[in-house]
Amino acid sequence: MHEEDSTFAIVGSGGEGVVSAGEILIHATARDGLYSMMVKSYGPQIRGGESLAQIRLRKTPVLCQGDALDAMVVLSWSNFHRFAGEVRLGARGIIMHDSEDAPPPNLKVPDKVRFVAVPFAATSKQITGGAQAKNLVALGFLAGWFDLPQHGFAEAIRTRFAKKGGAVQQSNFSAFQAGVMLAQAETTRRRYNWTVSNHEAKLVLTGNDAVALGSLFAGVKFFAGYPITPASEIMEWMARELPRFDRVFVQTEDEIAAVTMAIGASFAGVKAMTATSGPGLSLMTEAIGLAAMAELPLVVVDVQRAGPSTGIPTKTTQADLYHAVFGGHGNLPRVVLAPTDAADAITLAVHAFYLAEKYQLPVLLLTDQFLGQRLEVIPQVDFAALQPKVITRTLPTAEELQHYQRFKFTDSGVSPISAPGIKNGMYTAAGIEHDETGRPTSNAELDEKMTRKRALKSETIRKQEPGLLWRCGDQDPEIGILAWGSTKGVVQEAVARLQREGRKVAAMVLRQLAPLPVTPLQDFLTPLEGLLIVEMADRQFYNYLKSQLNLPHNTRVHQHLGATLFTVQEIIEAIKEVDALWETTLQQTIAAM
Amino acid sequence: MGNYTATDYRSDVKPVWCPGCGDFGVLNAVYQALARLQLPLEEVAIISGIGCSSRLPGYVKTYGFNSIHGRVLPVAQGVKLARPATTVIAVGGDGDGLSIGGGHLPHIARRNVDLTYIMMDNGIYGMTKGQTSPTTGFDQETKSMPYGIIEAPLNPVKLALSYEATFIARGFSANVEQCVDLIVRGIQHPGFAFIQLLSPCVTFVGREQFDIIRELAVDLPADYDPGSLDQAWQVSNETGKISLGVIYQKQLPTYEQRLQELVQRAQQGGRVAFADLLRQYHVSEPESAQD
Repeated sequence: MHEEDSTFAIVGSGGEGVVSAGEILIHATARDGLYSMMVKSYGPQIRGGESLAQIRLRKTPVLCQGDALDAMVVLSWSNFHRFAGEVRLGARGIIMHDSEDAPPPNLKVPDKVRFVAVPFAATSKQITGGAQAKNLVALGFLAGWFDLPQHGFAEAIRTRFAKKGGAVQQSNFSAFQAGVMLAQAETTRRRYNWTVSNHEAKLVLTGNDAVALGSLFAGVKFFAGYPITPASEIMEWMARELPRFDRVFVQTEDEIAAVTMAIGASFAGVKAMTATSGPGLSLMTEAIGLAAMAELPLVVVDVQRAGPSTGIPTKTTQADLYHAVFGGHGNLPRVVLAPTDAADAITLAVHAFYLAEKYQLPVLLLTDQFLGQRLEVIPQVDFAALQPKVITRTLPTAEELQHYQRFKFTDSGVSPISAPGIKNGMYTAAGIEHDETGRPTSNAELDEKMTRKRALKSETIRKQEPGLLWRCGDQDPEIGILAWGSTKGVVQEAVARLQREGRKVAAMVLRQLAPLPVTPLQDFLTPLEGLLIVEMADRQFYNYLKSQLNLPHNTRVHQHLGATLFTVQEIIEAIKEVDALWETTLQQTIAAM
Repeated sequence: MGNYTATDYRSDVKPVWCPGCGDFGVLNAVYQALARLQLPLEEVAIISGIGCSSRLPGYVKTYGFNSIHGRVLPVAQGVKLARPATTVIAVGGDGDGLSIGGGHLPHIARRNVDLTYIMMDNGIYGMTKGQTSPTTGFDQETKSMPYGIIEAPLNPVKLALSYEATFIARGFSANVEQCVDLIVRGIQHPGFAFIQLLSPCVTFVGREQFDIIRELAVDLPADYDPGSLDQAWQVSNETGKISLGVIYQKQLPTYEQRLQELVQRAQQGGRVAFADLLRQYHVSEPESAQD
């Protein structure tokens, strides 16, 4: 198999069809057996402004967005300056732009970058009578230049314009084909072979789709939410799909209503959730404490975005970590899970409901804009394997209902839970401190026992559930990496490349941040000579780990504070620095002996 | 159906309210209203926020939820929409419902969710010991406004009317019989029922509040038409007297009924199975490669 691995960007202004061209490319090539990932960069404007779609294409599953561009297709230069800093053109990259739209004079690109002027708009006008299809001419040109398989495009374009009728489908496909021919006329280009022999069924979806799909599979019966970028797609998905499954969706007046409505539904006995982003999570925090105190299952998805306050709604971060693991007043037991990619988002959404229902506490599913809004082609998901994690609550037995105690002290911290409709199961749920029956109390001794009961659930989870971790690399590493959530892909690729260079390196990626799987993590850390911590926040992950683990002496943090994605190359360099640090320390130690 | 008496609904938790508190009258009325409707204990859920009045769910032997400040209405809606067979009663005070939780009232009204909301209005913050509430009058002094109140009081009935709640009533906790009647009618009303029950605070306003209300209170006249919006507006604008009774009532589809219609629209193409949904995300090899 050829190691074809290309990264393209399509850039332009909002409304020029940047994202739709990217989506067509992904669906088309997936039909021909290829894997891809598309990340979007766009401003928070409603229309107009900048728009960028970056697509990485491979024959094997794509782990991250790709470091440098092999080609950049420019539909228009008008807003290019707004994201010029995010575009990394490869040393031999190609810039394909409209012949009528010359590149800006001050454009900084590597020396060997090649410019190809193509009549995108003119060709579109010639074929369709208007310039609207220039994105398809450009897409065709890209497909032709890189020898992308053609069969999938016909179907992807047909599907894309299905609602607009046969004439539109045909003219768009003609525009695409014209683009292909323009590229193929170019004799100086390199040739590619994207042929994949073994096609397997694949899923094309975003991280937000994946969370929603997993939640539905887990049996969510009630979703209440308030729109917020970049989590809104989860809410919109629920609005579309839940009524088709006889389940309830409510768009509430604010985030506080969303989370408390979900808590009310959970009290009524059904699996309930909400989804939000940072500012919404801040508003929901008091209610998350209520769910913990009233011991009600609740799933809250936080699709992280940049900044405190409003920040940058359309850009990614991992800086809600402190809020997720520590946020809230009082001793607030909670579970925090962090999916690593779209497939994992399905799995962890199911796990979130499983843990919430089994241990009767709030579970936060911490994703981010990078994962939530990127479009991924992933291998088929084994839903049958997830089925055992789809559970219902353990209701009180007839015997327990004789003298029902909702908050009975148990060895696990979990007590039988009833709900309206269950005879003799009546109780008052409360955020106020209460005794085993639910009766309010301000007795300090009882409060201590109840606080211990709730905290015990974290210990029970540590004992009964395997800590959700993902590991790759050497079995006996010298250098280790710790990362969490969506940075998994870039770390995995860096480790693989370093192993090929002969280095003994391994990475552990946390999918469960709270309760922290201390034992397996410490086992991983103890023999290490050096550790690299990778995070998209100002040492939140590092400080959190440091508070519960003994980190190696040689520990270095590689962080991004701004909302730019990590590259594989910079992770590799950071690991090499840890390695060098170890060598220096070793030599100093030897010299001192 | 069971043969319930008012005492069957009484829990063994002793109220924390001050002796003489108006809330005792409301609690008594709740017991009697539930008995009159012969509602099985397990089919009732009483939801509250935070405050003196919000302690009420613990005193009733049904399902209850004493949640957090101001959030009684969304929690109650969650219960009702997740399990429509439940009779849901939301209770709370003027501070809980009009200050911190003031943003939820218009939205439950426009949804017309089928539940009953009893606002126990004492015009003061009792739990936190005597600060100004959104319904405290200009003529008072409170711990938080010791030099007099410089903010106009809110009028809960007027708000409910302007939000187009489909059932609006007002009662006085000293008149338990009438309160029972209003609560029964509120529960029977299909849709959102808003009931303001004047419930004096003997500790931070004083016993004279009972006398003042008694002096001003009048029952709505026999020929009063609760279906008339004009008359309801007049009542809401009254000064110098406080009219008690069902002030406004109209029939509109409930949220639950509209939700059923929405579900039917969503399922017009036939019911969907998870596998069908999953198929939308699937891609496989092109069937034909003729292009």
